[in-house]
Amino acid sequence: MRKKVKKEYLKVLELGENASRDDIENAYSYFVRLYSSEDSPEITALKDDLSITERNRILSDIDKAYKALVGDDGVNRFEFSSKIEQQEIVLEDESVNETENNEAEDTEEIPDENEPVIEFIDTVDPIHDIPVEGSSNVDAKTETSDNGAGDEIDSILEFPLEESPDVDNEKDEIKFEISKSADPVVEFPGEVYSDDGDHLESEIEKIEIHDNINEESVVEITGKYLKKQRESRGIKPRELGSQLNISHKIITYIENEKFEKLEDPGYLRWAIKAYAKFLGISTEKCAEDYMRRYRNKK
Amino acid sequence: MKKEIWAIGGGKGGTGKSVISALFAATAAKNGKKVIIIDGDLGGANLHSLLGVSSGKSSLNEFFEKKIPLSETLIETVIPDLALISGDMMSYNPLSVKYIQRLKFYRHIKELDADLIIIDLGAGTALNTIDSFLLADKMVLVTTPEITSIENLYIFVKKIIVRKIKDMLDYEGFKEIDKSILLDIPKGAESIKFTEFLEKLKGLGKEQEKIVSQGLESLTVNLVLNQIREKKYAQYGISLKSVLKRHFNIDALFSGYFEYNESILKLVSGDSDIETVMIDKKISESVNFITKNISSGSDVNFNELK
Ligand SMILES: Nc1ncnc2c1ncn2[C@@H]1O[C@H](COP(=O)(O)OP(=O)(O)OP(=O)(O)O)[C@@H](O)[C@H]1O
Ligand SMILES: [Mg+2]
Repeated sequence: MRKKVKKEYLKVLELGENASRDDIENAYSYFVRLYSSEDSPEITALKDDLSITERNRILSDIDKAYKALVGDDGVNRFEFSSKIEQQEIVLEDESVNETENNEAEDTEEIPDENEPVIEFIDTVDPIHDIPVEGSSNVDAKTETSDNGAGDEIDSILEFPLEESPDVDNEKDEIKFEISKSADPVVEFPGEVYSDDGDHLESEIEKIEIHDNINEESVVEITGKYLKKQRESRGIKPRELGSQLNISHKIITYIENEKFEKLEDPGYLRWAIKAYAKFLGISTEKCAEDYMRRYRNKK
Repeated sequence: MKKEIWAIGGGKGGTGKSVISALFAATAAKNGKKVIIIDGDLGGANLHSLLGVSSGKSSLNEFFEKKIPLSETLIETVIPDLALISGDMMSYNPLSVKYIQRLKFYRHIKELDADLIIIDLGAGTALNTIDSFLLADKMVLVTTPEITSIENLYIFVKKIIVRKIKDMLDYEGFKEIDKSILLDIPKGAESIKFTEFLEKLKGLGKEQEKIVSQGLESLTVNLVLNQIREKKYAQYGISLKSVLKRHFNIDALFSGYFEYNESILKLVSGDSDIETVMIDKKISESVNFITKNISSGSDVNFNELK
């Protein structure tokens, strides 16, 4: 990437030229959380001056910048990628128009448990604090004194289980119980996978990724599409739910696009990514498509 | 040395505009610059008390009513090389200042003999406040992390953009636009959906679109956060900078922040004085850092805010 172009992308993430890889990750998650959050003062102060369409435009600018930057030094953001794959990506990067090289990124989107997903916990922290050297721990202690970070993880993980009784009553409105005071540094989706990560990985390996990549990169990901994919694998919502640690009800709501039941966009985004990861399709594309539908229809 | 005018505004009352103006001005004077500070707060002028001047003379009154040249209304302060143009106008009705008079006032400000002129704007977004702000070489917006303060900041920003674009369109002879789109602007700028407003203006024609873009490009604001009680709130500067760029289409620089500081409270209550406050290490460091950023056009990036 040319230096000037890189500088422009860094500017989108409000970073200086000497920004490190970690800085890029931090800034990216900071701004994704900022612009998708419903309770950061800097955004709510705009009131309805900032439309949903505009939010999405800004979010996609940020996404584009991030992807372009992360692909830049040839280091795949997913550690498992082989050297050969990386080189191919670099070549592709250079041949593609600078602003469009996020497509190259899409094809390398292969599920991995190291994927940083923290940025999508967008409603967790009202002041969208980011991990800042030496300060995050202190904040976590002072902010969540009677509601420690550990409790937050538990409440998030346990939530689907609490839902499990009343199986088919879809009329019950589900409220996600993510406390606003949680520490954003917590990587709870990672925790989810670590429970039965091996199982998940082996499931994913069974899926013929390449077939899906072609289809899913042209098709808009809808609830219906997800449902079709799930059914074609002969998996019941309940099975999927227990694998992903998501209530089967949520799975059904997602598939039927019952947006009014899906109150928390931050959790939803995470759930969609988990679902996509399970299916072996691009988590980014899936979350982007689905959240766009969610925002527009809600 | 090139003369510079800095305007300190931001919309919300009580955010610290006067304290910050006084600190900027006093520090620059201590560093050997010839400085004039103007109390543009037409309602609640208090710079004189911050700068150890016993109230009495009103420069603006003398200028507007007695037609005395602005340069002859300067009042000495406790800091050598720092003169005050007082806005204390108990006997004076600011609303009676006509547009022509204001233009004359702005012209006189530009002609003042000084290295640095700092205008402390009062709260609110009255037209004379907006116009004084736009007159400056460096436009400084002060806000606290409170949501009402940020709301006011956005309204203020909308108004300066609308006013700037209107001025430029007027200047280029597109006056008829006033009636269609700019109706009641900037008075009604709170209710304008900003993106719609821009779209409409650009839709008027190629030439207008160009002027609108030029107007936006010509605006760069400097953000200063005040009364920061915890470091995490300093990040609001980064957020605001991003929102001003992505949503309002203007360049913003995050110049730095002041922590919440008891000795500033003492200054305002009269239990301390400006020179004592300037010795406070944290305050002087912040002042130096921020003013250096504003003069040089550099600012704090996300990766530097650690
Ligand atoms: N960094 C700070 N720490 C503690 N108190 C502060 C700080 N900055 C300002 N204050 C307090 O806030 C109050 C308002 O300050 P100041 O008069 O400078 O605000 P202003 O924006 O000029 O208000 P107005 O809009 O009414 O002119 C004062 O009591 C002052 O002591
Ligand atoms: Mg004041």
